Amino acid sequence: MRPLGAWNFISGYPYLCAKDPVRSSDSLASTGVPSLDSLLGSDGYPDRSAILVVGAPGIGKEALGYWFVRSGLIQGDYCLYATHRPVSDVLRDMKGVGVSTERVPEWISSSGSPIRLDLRDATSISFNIKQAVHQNRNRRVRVATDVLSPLLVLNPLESMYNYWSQLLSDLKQQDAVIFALAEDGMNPPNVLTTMEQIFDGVIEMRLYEEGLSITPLFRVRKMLGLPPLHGYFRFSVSSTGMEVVPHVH
Amino acid sequence: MSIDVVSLIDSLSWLVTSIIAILVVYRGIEIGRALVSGVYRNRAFWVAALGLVIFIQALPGYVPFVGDVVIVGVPLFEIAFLSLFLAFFAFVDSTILVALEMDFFHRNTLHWRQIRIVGYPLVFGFIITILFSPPLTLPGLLMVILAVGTIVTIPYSAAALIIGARRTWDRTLKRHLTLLGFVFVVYLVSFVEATTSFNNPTPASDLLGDFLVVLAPYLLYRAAMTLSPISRIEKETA
Repeated sequence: MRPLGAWNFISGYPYLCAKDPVRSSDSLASTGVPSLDSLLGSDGYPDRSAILVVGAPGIGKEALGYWFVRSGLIQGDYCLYATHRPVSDVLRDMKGVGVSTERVPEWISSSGSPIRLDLRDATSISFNIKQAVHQNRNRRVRVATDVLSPLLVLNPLESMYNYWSQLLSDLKQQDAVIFALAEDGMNPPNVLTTMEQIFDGVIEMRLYEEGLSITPLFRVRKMLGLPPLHGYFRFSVSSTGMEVVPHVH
Repeated sequence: MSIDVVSLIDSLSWLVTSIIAILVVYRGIEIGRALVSGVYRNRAFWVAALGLVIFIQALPGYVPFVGDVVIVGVPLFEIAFLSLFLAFFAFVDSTILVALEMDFFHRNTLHWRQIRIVGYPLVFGFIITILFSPPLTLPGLLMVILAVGTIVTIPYSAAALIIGARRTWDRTLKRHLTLLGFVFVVYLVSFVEATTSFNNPTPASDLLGDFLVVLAPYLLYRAAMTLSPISRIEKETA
């Protein structure tokens, strides 16, 4: 892992040096992306936290989720992936971004998993996730899910706010780190802003226009235990992994 | 209006079309490079391919000798015109796949995942047959199958596109498809206009044709801009 101070010296980004690690490394869950771990302090997302990643379709939100899950599997954490997509699609995607599928998480999905996910039944989704986590309560738990946006579309905001508040709170009590994806453009901005309030960390992945060029950039809007991170970060996904570096514009 | 002015406007309209087409190519490639997911990336690259075909088609409008260029015994203009079918089909196909991907319930709209496997050989076969076989020597049945197949495939794909779009909740995709719908309409009007005024061209009909020639790629450019939501970097105070 690159030393934080050296990186700061090279990039000239004062905030990287200004933040003191306020968390001990044993209470962190690696993101699976070393450069992002460095950016977030030392070793990743805070334990017992809920992270929301907002971004345009196809930009690489899922890749971040796959690396998060893979990192957990390597560390021996219990990993659960709750998705509205078929398992075969997710596995194909994982291979596409260079994530090995030798070890896979437990699935709750629309097809290809023992526990089926039905977007029209939000209660059963919550119940199944909580039950799976409860059965593994002696282990560290990582939950990744892409059902936030669909559920927000299919249900009233008020009920979803309560639903997610309750679900995230229950999962955090079980020593879980939750990683949720939200589609930009699928939900109105005010809906996403409302939902962001119940998450401990919010990461934004968007395409930005700079003159004639278009660049995919990454922004940490908030993260539990860290002072606000200003600025944008360039990210790239390849078959060898994901890389996040400060973006100078 | 003198014939010279109309002729100049005609050449200019093709030139402007080429410039817009190049912008479409550039945007398509830029957005495609920035995206991670294969389905979304393919769509962006097919927009670029469509832009490239339009660019080649527009070239003879202001570079006369391009009209005489022959590749493997076939005029470049003819290749570009027929490639438009393939590029259009591939672009529509990639857009439908995106719409299916964005549908929360991942419904296989009009069995598109199966139909596309038949659609590609049909459209490709039709183009190759037209390009390299003199029409009178074609095996009649093969030609009929290919022509009917292509004619059926295109409206079928349009129907799948519309249904797929109705099932998605993504506002950017909806906007993209609306603009794409306008591109179709403008090309259709342009085709009707060109056909009806072919024997009796007037300066007014020529000008209308030139306007439509520019409008269609412009709308395609706008559609290329809505391939993915694009933000602007905010100035922040550290």
